[in-house]
Amino acid sequence: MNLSRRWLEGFLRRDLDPQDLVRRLAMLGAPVDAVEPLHPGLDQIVIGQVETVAPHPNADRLRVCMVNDGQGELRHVVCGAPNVTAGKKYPFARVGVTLPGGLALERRKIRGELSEGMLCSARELGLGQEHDGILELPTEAAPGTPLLAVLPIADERLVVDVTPNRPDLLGHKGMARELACSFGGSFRLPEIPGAPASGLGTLRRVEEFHAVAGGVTVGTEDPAGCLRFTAVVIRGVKVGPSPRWLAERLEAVGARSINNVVDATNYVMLELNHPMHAYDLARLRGPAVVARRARAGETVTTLDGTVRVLTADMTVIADAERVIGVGGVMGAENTEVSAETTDLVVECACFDPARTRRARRTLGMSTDASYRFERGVDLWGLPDAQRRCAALILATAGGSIEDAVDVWPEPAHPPRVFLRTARVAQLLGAALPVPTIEKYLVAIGCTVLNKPDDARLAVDIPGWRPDLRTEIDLIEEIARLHGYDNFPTDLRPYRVGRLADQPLDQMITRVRNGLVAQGLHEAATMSLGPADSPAALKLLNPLSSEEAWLREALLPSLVRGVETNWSRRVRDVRLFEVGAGFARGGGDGRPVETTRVAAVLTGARTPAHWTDGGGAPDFDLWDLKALFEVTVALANPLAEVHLDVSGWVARDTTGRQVGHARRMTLPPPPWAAPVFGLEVELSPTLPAPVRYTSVPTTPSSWRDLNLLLGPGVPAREVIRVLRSAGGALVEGVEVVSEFRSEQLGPERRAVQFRVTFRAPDRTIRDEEVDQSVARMLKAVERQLDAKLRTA
Amino acid sequence: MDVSCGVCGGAGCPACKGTGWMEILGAGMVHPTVLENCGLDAERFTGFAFGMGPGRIAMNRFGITDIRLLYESDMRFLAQFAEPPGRRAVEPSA
Repeated sequence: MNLSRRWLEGFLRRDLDPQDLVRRLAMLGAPVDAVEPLHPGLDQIVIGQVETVAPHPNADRLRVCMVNDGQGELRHVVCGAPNVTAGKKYPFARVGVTLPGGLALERRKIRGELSEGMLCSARELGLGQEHDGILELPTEAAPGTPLLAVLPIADERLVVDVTPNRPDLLGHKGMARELACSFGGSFRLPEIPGAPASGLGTLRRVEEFHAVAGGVTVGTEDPAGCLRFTAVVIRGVKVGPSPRWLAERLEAVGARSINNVVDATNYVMLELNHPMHAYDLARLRGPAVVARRARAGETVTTLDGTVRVLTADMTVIADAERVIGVGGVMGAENTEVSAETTDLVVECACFDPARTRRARRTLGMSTDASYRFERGVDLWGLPDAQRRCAALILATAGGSIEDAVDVWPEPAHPPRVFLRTARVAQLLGAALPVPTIEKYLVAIGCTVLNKPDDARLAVDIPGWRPDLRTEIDLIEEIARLHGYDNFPTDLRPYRVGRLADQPLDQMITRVRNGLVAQGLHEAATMSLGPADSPAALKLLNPLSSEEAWLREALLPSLVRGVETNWSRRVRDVRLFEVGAGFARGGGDGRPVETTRVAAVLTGARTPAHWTDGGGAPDFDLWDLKALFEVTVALANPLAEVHLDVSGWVARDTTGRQVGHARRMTLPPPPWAAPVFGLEVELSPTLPAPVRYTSVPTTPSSWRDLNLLLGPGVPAREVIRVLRSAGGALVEGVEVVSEFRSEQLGPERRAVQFRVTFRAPDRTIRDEEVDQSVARMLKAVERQLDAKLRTA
Repeated sequence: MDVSCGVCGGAGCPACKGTGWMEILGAGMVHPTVLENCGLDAERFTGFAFGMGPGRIAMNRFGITDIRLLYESDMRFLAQFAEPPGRRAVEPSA
């Protein structure tokens, strides 16, 4: 919504400062996006008086004028305007001034005659389209006076962000009402210059579907789409350009001036938020102007020159034979007001918001009218809009009112809401006196009836506030008008919660701290992105077509993070993220959400250091394995790591896979290193706290077993067999060394295991150890075909 | 709810679109219908609602000028927030 500062001043009858308006409107809930000064570049223009006019010696159409610009010496000016007259005053631009159109004036010769400045037309100053000649100023002001001191046209346009629940703010009157609340003053409609003292009186109310006004049949045959229809017949108007003040008002808010009749309807829309339309009575068949349902396939050429095909769920305005407008959206060419028009039917109706929105979407056209009807106009304000529009037309186009009717088949009263004053105090935490509450509500246009018997106020809601429906809406309004910063502030007693975090939250903290301790950096990526797999869940209504899927895993977005770093020539990346993954299969078609941790490693293992002799080694697969084991121990403590074809996997106690680690397939640029990635699902249960077991008091004994292992026998499996065969005395088994050589055979290796023995209650004897070792060797030979390596 | 912009100290900058203020969270009172739908007696209970996003708060606290930096995984950005300060596990190479 565009506002004109001067238009608001007409309502509030006081000088307004744009920056003050910005602050006040922000506090009232209508933030100003921009303040645009209008007519910039006019502050350098002054009044120039033409003293003499002489013909140009070398050109028939040019004149040489001597201009007094108030600086003593007369200026030599060559002027081509036909209306330049000695003794009159015009806007004058001196040498050095840049006109609004961008023309910079300099001293130069025109056909051999010196010209020191320029007498300006309205168009050259950006004040309109008139270019018949230079702008004559009927003023007493002395030459040299700034133009802006004589022409009160300086204005600012305020671009206000109006929320959809406040249609009343789409007109200057609504904004003036809000500002009057803020100033604590009153407001009234600006006077229309030249309006007759007795304008349009009361409209004739007809509670049927049709009426005849001035020989024209008007009405609504579709009360669901067009609730109320008012029409005024004006005869004998003279259509022409609007007076300057009216054109300036419209142009100040970005509307184009067309002619005095159309401008009058647009002015009322921008002032009172009632879209209106004027029809050329002579072009109406019937004559009739009636709202009805469209017939499927009917066509109409709207004012923008486009042929529109209508559907049966639209409301249209029609005369006796054809469609003359799409209800609430746009009028038609066939009855457009033109320079020849003398008789008018002016329509002001109320169209259903939902119907208007559907029609607008089906037709693919949004207009100032549809924007307002969609949000809801004041059903009870139509007669006032007609009165205002009639006054404007009579003042600017003449004519006389023949008849005015108000067709309202099903009249209704504005809604009434009851407000308990105690409830106001309870919700707002401040007991406002009843007269103050009343004052606020009256200021926004409510009618308030105090009912002291039951401590309630009966509040009649004005038609322009469809957002006020229940008691709580009124309380919110009272808080807004009182000013949120005017309520007392206090610190409420507060006690820190003593409840422990949820186990899953504790797990998340544990994983975060653990991986930060490993030297990784935590990343945050978006949970929406491209599809991870064909099974990914797609949003019904995504904001962008690329980020339309819920992620199943975190690793792909971390890999994209690696690519981002590579694209910025950052080679060493170590990231992790804790977040949610989404999969199909929840109840009611909802996704299953799991909390997961993922990490990526690439590039140097440690920062460069002089002891490295020129660069630390890069991460390898064993760094990944080590990090995977740490991550599984942190995130899913009961799970175990197993070798897998692609790398390693983690399985929980039920055998379900809860994590994996592998070298990623994306090829690094030549200067970068391979990428390793892992992802683990978080267990929702914390590991049991550590229980102390007594430190051994007896000595231990150990033996090294150098075993020959065949292809595909993992050390882990050997350890499992050794432990189970060795019996209770085995305290631990570790791998000490590994040896491979061609003499051992392909893929065969000798692995040295160190087995520790201990008896908790006594010193262990050699015979016990020997017996245990014998059992172990037998078991590994039988189960894994592993023998002691001899010599 | 707006707070004064921590990037420019309220003077106006691109992060606050020149206003000197930054919206960090939506806040307000809970609508009685919401309370009723949660099974609470709205005549007895009132509530405050806050919708906090860590991004805006982090911008304010650390003087971050572009919110997208938080979600790009750029090591040169993330490494600035290493704990303890100054400890860089991997020196970013650029």
